[in-house]
Amino acid sequence: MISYMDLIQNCFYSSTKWSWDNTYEHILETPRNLLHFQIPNGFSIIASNRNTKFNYSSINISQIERLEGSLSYLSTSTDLDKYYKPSSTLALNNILQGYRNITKEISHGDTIDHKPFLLYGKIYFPSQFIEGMIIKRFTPNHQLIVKFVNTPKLNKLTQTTSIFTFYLQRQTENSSHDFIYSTREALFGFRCLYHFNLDNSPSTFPINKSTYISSKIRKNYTEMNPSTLSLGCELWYSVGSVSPGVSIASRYTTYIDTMRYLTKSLPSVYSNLNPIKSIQSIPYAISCIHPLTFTFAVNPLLGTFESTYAIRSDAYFKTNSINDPENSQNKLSSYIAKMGIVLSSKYQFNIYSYDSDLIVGAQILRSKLSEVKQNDDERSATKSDTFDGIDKSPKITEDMPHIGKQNVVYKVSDKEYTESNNINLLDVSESFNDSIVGNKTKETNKALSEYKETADEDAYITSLKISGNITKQNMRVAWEGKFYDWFVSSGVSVDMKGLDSGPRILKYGVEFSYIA
Amino acid sequence: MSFKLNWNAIEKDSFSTYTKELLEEALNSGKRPSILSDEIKIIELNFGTIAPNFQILEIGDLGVDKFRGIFQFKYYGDAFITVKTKISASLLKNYNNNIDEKLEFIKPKFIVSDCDFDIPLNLTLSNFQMSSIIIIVFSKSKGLTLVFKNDPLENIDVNSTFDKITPIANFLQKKIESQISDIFKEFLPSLLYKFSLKYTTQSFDQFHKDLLIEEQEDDFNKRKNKILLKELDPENPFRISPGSLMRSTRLSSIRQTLSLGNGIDKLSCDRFNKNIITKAYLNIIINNSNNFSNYNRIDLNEEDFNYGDINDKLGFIKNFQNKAFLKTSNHKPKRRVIKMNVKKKEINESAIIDEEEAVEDNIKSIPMNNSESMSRRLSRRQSSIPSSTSSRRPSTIKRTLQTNEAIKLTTGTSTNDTTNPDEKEIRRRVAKLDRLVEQRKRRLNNNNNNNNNNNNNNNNVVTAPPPYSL
Repeated sequence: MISYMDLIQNCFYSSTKWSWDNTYEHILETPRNLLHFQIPNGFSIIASNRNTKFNYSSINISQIERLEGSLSYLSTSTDLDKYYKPSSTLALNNILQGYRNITKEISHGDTIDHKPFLLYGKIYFPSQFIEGMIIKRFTPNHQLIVKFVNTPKLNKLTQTTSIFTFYLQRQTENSSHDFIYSTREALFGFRCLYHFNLDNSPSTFPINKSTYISSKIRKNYTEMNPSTLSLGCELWYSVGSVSPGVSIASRYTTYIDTMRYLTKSLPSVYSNLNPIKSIQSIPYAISCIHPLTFTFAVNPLLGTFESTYAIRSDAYFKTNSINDPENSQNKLSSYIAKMGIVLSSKYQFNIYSYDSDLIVGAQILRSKLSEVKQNDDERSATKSDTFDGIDKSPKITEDMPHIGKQNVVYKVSDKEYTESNNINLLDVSESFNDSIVGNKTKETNKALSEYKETADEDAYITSLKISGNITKQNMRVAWEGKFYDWFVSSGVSVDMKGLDSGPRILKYGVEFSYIA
Repeated sequence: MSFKLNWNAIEKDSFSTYTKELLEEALNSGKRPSILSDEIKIIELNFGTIAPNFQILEIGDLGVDKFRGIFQFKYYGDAFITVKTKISASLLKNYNNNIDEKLEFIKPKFIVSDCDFDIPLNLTLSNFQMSSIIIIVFSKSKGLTLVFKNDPLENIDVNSTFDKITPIANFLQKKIESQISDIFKEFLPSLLYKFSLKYTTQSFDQFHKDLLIEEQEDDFNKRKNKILLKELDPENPFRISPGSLMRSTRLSSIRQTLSLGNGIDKLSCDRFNKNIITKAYLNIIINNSNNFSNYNRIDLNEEDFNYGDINDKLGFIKNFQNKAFLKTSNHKPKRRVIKMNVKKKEINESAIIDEEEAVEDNIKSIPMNNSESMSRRLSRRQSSIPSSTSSRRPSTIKRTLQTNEAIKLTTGTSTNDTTNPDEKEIRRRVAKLDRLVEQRKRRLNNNNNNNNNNNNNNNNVVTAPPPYSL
């Protein structure tokens, strides 16, 4: 889970149209989040609050070996209303670190008319360390970040440490450059990153090429390109300790929405009654196209290769089960939920020392289980509305009562999910249908995009991450979730080969976070 | 005073594995320096064949279960230790690790520039040369504490897998030299403390017994003729009373000094050092050898009685005794006077056999000067009755004096009148007495000869008295 400072920084970037992912620093963010995720240490409670429109504060109390804590203050110059939500309405995916869909923020003239800044300061107790950050945007494409830490002299033995780091960043649509300077041992760094859009498919199925979207509106919201190749490199040199460092990395990421793909490519029939063309449910669907991220990084100085692969799949699932005998109506009640799974792996190899490493990880996301209250009439009506050769499962379960109506799980479409979940954005179902047919309005399109985002991502409330290192025989498990208004994060790191006594717990912790 | 250490005892498996474990645990304890990316493992620990040299400078406190002393410690041996670890050669990773781990915020997030890159390192430390003054405090309950008073290390050889790269090899040598003396000062005492706690407090007595058993096994062949202290009291082998400790120290210190058997006349030659002959033994030898018999003795034999030299010899003896007596006292020696031709006493046959007792009675009734020794008493008795039989000294056999004539006992009386019939009677009695004496003597000589023949010794060489055993 990201810290409160990172959350505010994200909201700041979103509201000022700065891309979080468009920097070399975050090129390997997806595999890092899935394989080298952080585990909280000890027991800690974080309470955060938006004091005023521009002021935020957070306090953290934790028990690691002894009672510790920290207090932080943030201040921005822009209003983060649109993006900042308290934890009661904040979705887990904003806090959760996981598979990142690479979005590209497109900035244009009229959105930013001032030079926003963000101030951050934190003090730790009892060690009295101070850290702070200033982010200043002085052109739409240029930004300066200054980070500093200071450790005080508590007794005669300790030395004060004061480190400043300057990041000068420049971002455009297809590239990004960073210049870094740190006062500690005079470290100089340079990073650059370039993106290439690879449209490897005809214009039929990318979502932004649908007929209902006009070109003007297209620029107003985020695009998700089907595939992107990013290439970048970094150069470091520390003058004080004469340490050079070089690395080159590339990332190939695709985003293909399974449902849309299948909608477009599978045969469908328009019926006269209802010109809606939709796929209701695909039982036993083997969706073989999922968003994936493939990265490859090299350190030519030390001769290390690192390649990772991550793939994500999520779908809605519906179960049919016989109702309780108490219910007199004895109708079929079904539960619908969304589940996502992300699998990733990483392979490392060093050509000089022949050290190799294999790490595999998985993330399982689950949403709330919500009951679908349908009566048989409605179901049959919806059934008859559509003619779809694929939609067979309700028929199957009804025709074959002897199989048992309990545990058939099958995927459902977005439409059915949103219908049953009563997502309260707009009248989504109708707007969805309208848009398919061809009625296009700016609002619906916006609603569509927003709906898509939120419906896709906001659904999850729990996430379980597992990652195991094969050669070092470490295993990390992290469970994160939203529990009423609290975000809970817990984790444990186990050393499987241990000493003589078997598995040994290296690190464990629980963290509770509340955002007001 | 220095010690001889049984350094081979250290080569036992259990001890060396225990030490290796302790050493590994100590090396890996605490926060690992960021340059090492793996724990330190000991591949080999060899104590070498040469023992360190301890010399006692001072002993402060000595008790049954505690001990404190200052020693001089020298070690010029061939012990060596080989350790294995991994060094992180990823420079930017070391850069990040050198920043305090709480300052994660400021650490630059390197992308693969800080990947792991470990170089294994084998390090061998050998050829230790150490010399120092150490203070050892040992107590049964608290174990052993060792403190180095000064820097012990004089030389150490460092060999590693980086030997071919001279700058790194030099750096390692300097670094280790500067650190190793700190390690010795801190680490060795704690190691010995833990070791001592393990081996002594649990079973102090058992420890002693183990030590004794080892010693016995090693030196069994060398110690055939010696009796060990533990044989006196196997249960408490080192428990020796202060009195007997003093006696045995006195005995052993006597051996080391120049005085020979001073006052201890039973002690013959030193069995441990055959070059030393005590005075008592020498006297015995001389007294029993025929060759030297004329030097210190005056024999009164039969011819003297026949040809009249007895008077001169007796006079000589008398003068000698007077001189010896007069050295220590101021008045004249009192001599017993037996008057001849006294009619009161009648000498009869039966009285001859009892004569020894009569002589004894006489001796007892003689008022004697207290300063006279037993030897003088005997010699007086001998001069009063020259026909003494076997000597009062139990371990020596002397040739007896033989006299045929009556005894002239007073100092001035002449012994020349022979025509008295009483004197004839006396002479006859005395002759008979002599014959008896001679028979007894012959018997004894025969026994002595038999003994000598059995021992394959010369007749005249006296056997050594049974020795004192220590």
